[in-house]
Amino acid sequence: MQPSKAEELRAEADDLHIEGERTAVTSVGPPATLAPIGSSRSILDHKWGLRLLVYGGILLAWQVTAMVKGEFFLPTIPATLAGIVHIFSEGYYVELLATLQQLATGFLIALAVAIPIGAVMGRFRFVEDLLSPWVNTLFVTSKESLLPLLIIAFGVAFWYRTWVVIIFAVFFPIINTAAGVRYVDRELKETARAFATSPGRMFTRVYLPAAAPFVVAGIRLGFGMAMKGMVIAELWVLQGTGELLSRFARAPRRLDLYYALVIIIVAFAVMVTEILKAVERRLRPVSSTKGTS
Amino acid sequence: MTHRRRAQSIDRQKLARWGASIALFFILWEIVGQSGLILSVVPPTDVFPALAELFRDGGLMSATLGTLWIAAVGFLIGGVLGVVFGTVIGTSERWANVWDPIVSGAFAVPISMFIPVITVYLGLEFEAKVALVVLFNIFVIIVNTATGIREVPESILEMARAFNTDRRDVYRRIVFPWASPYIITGLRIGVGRSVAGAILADLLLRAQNLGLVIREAQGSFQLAELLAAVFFITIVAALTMGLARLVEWRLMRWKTS
Repeated sequence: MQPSKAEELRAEADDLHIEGERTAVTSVGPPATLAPIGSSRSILDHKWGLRLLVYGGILLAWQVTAMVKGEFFLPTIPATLAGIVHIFSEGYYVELLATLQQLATGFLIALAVAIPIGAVMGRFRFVEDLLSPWVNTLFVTSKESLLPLLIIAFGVAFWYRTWVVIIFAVFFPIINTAAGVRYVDRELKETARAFATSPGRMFTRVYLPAAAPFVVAGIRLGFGMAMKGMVIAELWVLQGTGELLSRFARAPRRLDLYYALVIIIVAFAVMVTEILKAVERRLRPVSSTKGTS
Repeated sequence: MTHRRRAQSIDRQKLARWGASIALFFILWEIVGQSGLILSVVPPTDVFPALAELFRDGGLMSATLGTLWIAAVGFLIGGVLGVVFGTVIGTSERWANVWDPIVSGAFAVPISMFIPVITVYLGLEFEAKVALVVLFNIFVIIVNTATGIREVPESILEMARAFNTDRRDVYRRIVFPWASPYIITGLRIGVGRSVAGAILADLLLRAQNLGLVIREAQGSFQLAELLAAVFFITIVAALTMGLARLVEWRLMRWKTS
């Protein structure tokens, strides 16, 4: 009917599921079938067989490189593991907690702003048309260049980092919530209307539950962006965890502590992401899982 | 005919709203800037002369090209590696099994935390910047390529096998054309990430190009210049993304028609 609009929706959907949904789905995707048929079964066919081999190989290569090149190039694995303990025993974790607190503050503010905006954008075409140029432009462009402005406006303390987190985190929840509300099943809406559901109830009982998986996906992706913003913000002004990362990599170089910190950050990011993915799976009705594209 | 006319009028309405929204933004910006309520906001009537000034003697054009060059080299490397690696993962269940946790973990993790260690191994110059750009763009390209290749229906592959098509032809004639919308979308998103990575690299590694423009304006508290640079960078990034979208659309037109 309206080629341009359909095109745009499709492109938007692509963006969403490629950056979001699909990453969650990749590991459980349909079995790949290009592999030669009839290959003999071996230990490598077991889920963990090849994994152990490859991950073990990577760790071995790490350890050997570390032992050959020395700790100023790469710390050994035991040294790195000891580094994780040092981060906590030598009080560096205080910086981590400070960073975490600001991350949480900024992220919660971002969600409190983003979800209502996204819901209204998804519901009212008019609002969407007004806001979408800004949301889309800021979503795709580099938000890094806004940092100096924020530094001048807020200094380098609490509100600067909180604002960076907000600006980085706010767009995914907006876009995903809007997409979720927009895609609410037409029939669902019609049925609810037929039962004379009030607009308020429509929103809480029809739109939100149907859009919930999209919203949670938006929260998950937004959280990733929040962490990205936080690290960049702190690397820029050398404060908090970013300052530690930068300090450990400069003279006197402590790469054991650097990699320990990286492991802690990765573990934290993966943990939160996995929790949100699990929530997302629970909220997603079985019937609406993607079958077509 | 009627459909087309309706679509056109809807687009016109949307364009009008976009225009209104943009105009409203600049008016608000001007008012807030003139009032001096927010210290760091300078009105556009000061910002645009500063932007013209930057163009004239700040070498803004060469700075832009410098940053885009880093992005382009990184995109080329990340694009090739990403598509190859994504093809391997998409084709082989075994390798997917091994690499999926790592690739999806990389999505969740702030890549910029590797900036300090990139400086340890690669320094602050071009190689380090390109490496950062590659880290920024490669994962989305890998994931999209792998997803696209997994979408190739088994029935078609079986048919190809039945006709004894050789492996190279299967890839060239079936697998890649089928997966191309995903791969191209991944590359398109990769363009945006490359530009963001290059700007970040020019800001946080050796300050050069657009990064240097911003750093200098920030250092000397030249607010008008700083806002001009931020505004300009946003436009450059948006234009690059728009161009990538256009290319994507041109490449994919055969599929929709």
